[in-house]
Amino acid sequence: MVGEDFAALLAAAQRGSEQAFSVLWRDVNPALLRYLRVVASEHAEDVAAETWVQVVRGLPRFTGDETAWRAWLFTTARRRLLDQVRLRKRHPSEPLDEISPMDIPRTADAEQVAMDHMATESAMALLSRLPEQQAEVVFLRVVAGLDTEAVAELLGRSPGAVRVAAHRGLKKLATLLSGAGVTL
Amino acid sequence: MPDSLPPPGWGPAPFDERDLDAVLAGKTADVPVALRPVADALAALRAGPVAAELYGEANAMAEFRALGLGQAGRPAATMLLEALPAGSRRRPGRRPARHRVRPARRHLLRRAVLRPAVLSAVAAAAVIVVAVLVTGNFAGPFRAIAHMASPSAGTRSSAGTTGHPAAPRVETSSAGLETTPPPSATYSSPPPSPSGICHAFYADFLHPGLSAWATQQYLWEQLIKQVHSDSWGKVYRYCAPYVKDLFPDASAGQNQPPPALANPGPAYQKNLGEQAGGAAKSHSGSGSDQSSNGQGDPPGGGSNP
Repeated sequence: MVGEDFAALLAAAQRGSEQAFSVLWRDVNPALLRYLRVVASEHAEDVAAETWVQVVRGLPRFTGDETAWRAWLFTTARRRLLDQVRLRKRHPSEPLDEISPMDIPRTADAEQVAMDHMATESAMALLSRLPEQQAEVVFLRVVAGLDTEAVAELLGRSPGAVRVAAHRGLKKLATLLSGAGVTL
Repeated sequence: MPDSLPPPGWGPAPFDERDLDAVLAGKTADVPVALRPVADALAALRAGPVAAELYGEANAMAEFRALGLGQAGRPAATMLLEALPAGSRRRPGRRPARHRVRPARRHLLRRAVLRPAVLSAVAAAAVIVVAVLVTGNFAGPFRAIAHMASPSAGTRSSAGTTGHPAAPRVETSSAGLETTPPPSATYSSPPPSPSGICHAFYADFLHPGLSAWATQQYLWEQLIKQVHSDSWGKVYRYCAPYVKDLFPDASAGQNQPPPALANPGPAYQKNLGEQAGGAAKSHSGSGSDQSSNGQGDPPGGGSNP
């Protein structure tokens, strides 16, 4: 989350500042990609790219705080995802070979990054074992940083239903973690 | 003291809904032990980005620049628009810079088309066309254009240019293309005098180009009518008394035409003979007494009637 500087960053980005837009992009895109990988692992990269294209086009007209910004971005991503799923159903295609982890560029602190990545990947894999609606609600609450009302509006459900789904998801996670002895 | 352990579901719940809300909100300070692994997993989901998650920044930035948003920190590649006045407000649905270029181009094109010079030229052309359509007649240089465009004019011109070099040339200027009576036309005016016809006909030999080809042809027809022969010698002998002033040497030579006139060339004779033959047929209805084959007398045939 950007925090207090969000309004200034958004205004600068709307005026054309690439630095401000880069900060906004770096803040949201990892969460966006993780959310998309859980709900649609095959098309996450494509959907994220399309989402940003639409967000950039609508950026000059956007007004709101950081919660509204994230809600708008994830709403856009979810709509693009549904479009992508419909398109793939009509025109099925074979995915290209995925990039091997060995091809990912290494940083100076590659070991720590790898450990964090493994923890993140493990957590995402664990969350993927939840029912789809519960996993999506937990992701939108935790990763996207949206509150119950925003998630409810995004998913088109009531806030009570969202809250119940989130609680059930967490309980299921606790059961999975305690039963499998998983340590992150 | 019971002999057996209670079932696993008995006893107080290890966490309640408030604990779940706290975990969802990221508050892990007072999390129950049973929820600690869940809190750790959610913290791992909130971990910082890895390199693979930042690969798409270049694409997003390119889109940002392509839509005209990325301008700060770089030299301006497009014209900077001046700030709007305080009272005016841009409509929210309109994009600022990119879409203003195209209407400007269209406006420039429209302005170029509607220049005063272009407008005046178009108006002048329209007036001329309307005048021609109203009057049904061509005048001045447009007549020449019409003659060039019409097949009959082309035939007439080619007939003149393919003639003998000594033959009277066809006037292609506006003065030479004046309306002359056509060869087959009927003339209601009184017949001209023989002296005028002869003088006018032979004067053209001394000053080629004074009269048009059609005029010369008309005079030749009149002479044929009056002489009742298309023989050059007979025609000259008929006209000799009237053209003494034109050919003083010939008149001294016992009514013999000058050499150049006595043999004007087969092409010229043929050309005039064809025209005159057709005209004589049309006028008299019978060409029995005339040589309608266009050959005329042989040059210097000396065929005195």
